[in-house]
Amino acid sequence: MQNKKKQNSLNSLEEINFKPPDKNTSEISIFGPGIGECVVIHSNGYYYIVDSCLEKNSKRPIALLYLEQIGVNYQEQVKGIIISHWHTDHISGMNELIQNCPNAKIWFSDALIQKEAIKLVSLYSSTSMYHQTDDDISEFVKTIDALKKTNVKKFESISARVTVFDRRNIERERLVALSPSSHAIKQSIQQLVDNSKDREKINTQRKRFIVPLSSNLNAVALIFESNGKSVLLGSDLEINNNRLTGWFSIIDSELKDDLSINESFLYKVAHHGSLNGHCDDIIDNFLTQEHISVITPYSRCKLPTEDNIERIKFHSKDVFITAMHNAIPPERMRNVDKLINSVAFNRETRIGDMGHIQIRWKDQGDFMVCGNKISKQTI
Amino acid sequence: MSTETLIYDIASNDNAESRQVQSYEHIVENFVSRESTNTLSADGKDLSESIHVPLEQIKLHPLIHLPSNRTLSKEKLIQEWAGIVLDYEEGRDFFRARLSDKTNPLNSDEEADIILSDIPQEDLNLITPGAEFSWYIYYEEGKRYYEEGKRITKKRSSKIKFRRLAHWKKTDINNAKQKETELLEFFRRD
Repeated sequence: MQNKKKQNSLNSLEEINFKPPDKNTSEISIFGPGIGECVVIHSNGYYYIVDSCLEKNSKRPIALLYLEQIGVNYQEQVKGIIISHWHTDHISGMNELIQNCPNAKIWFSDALIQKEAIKLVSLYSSTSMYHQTDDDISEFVKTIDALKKTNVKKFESISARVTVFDRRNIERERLVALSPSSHAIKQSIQQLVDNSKDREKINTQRKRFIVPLSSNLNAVALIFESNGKSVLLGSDLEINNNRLTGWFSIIDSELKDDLSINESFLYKVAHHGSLNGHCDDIIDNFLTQEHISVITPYSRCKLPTEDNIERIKFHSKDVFITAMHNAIPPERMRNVDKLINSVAFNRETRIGDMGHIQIRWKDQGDFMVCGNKISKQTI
Repeated sequence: MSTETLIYDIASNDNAESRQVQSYEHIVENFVSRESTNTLSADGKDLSESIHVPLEQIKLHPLIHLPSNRTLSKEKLIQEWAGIVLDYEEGRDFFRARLSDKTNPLNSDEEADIILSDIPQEDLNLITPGAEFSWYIYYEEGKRYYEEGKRITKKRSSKIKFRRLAHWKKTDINNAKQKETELLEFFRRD
């Protein structure tokens, strides 16, 4: 990897701007409370939402709260919702999002609507016995129900080279997927087949944690181009030994040249900054030397680690993280706390206040980085 | 028929206490015969010709109530969590769990290591990643409690109970097949 020459950090950091961006201003807002992430994109008067997480107090999707706050009519203006992959930290509140954005087309991986996935979902949703351990399945079923309620088949499968929108002939804007590769989709389907085996037999016990963790292979990385700048949204995409999947598949299939992709000034770091989410070739070929990295943590696995952060700082001009690992613990009566501590130790709070980083830019102009109090700490 | 001991059928009365009544010393002057399905009394006498009377016509001895001087214990819930096992290795004396506060749902989820000594013996084999449990912290009142040698009026207690997972039933499988057909139809591309 080339040694990136660093310049001084950003001169100005502003408080979040709660006025809606004008039509000619592009925006990326990245949210993360410690577990979960969501990205809101503004392009030419329309909004696109990638993934969903909940604000801890209201338990509502943060994207809706934010759009309400800046006065956006999300029922009309949200044109697309992209589900990058089916893990709880990326899909919480997805069904509410879909119900509130009837004008949006929904994009998700083809693997999710294959027979094997449908079979698994049907089995686990056939009774009320699935519960909070099956959050992924429960949210999937609610999402499908939300789609059915709209009574319009407004969904599309998304994979490498699929374009969500392309207005380059008028506004020089597009949103295009770099992953998953066709091989990754096949591999995910095979995993679902393996997971489905014996599950539909009478008198066999239900299983827990049925969504395969390895579905990160199927994560959708996106390139957003607008007003002369590019942004790379890494989702949870990782590298593994198989070069036909993950970040390697993007490099090997020469997507950058095929799709004429410009280097990005902003990178939503893949897989919460983990080493598995890191790919030198991506940094060298898809990001500018002066790029800014934004990390959404996954506190349950303590991602990013200090080493992860050091590595990301090494190749980025600036790094922002939406939240830190240990949120403020809830207050309880002293004697209750005493009893809790006699039964449970090493207590940690995972989800704290919502971190928000808002980046806006105009045609060929400078960009403005804004954050709330937590995300404004540079690290 | 002897009038000294009258055994009557009260089978139509579901009251368990009443069912235990088998004989009375009182002689009932006006009685009405009723059919009985049970022809033997507890001591083996043939009851086929027993005389049956409506309960309201029987003169009963007044019930004597002797109140206990014991106060019934009460439990007052002060904190409840829904927990999920995140990690557990055989041989360790604790497991890692995610705790969602059900008493104050606005509180953030917490994670903690829970010691096994607080888990009921019958639940120990249920501890596996993904397993669900409920954790209650409550006050017990109404008994004599001692803490560090001093008598106290209420005691804080903790109880953890794991949820059992049911097996698939035929109806589940049939419902699943129906749901699968519906979903495949919905997602079918034309």
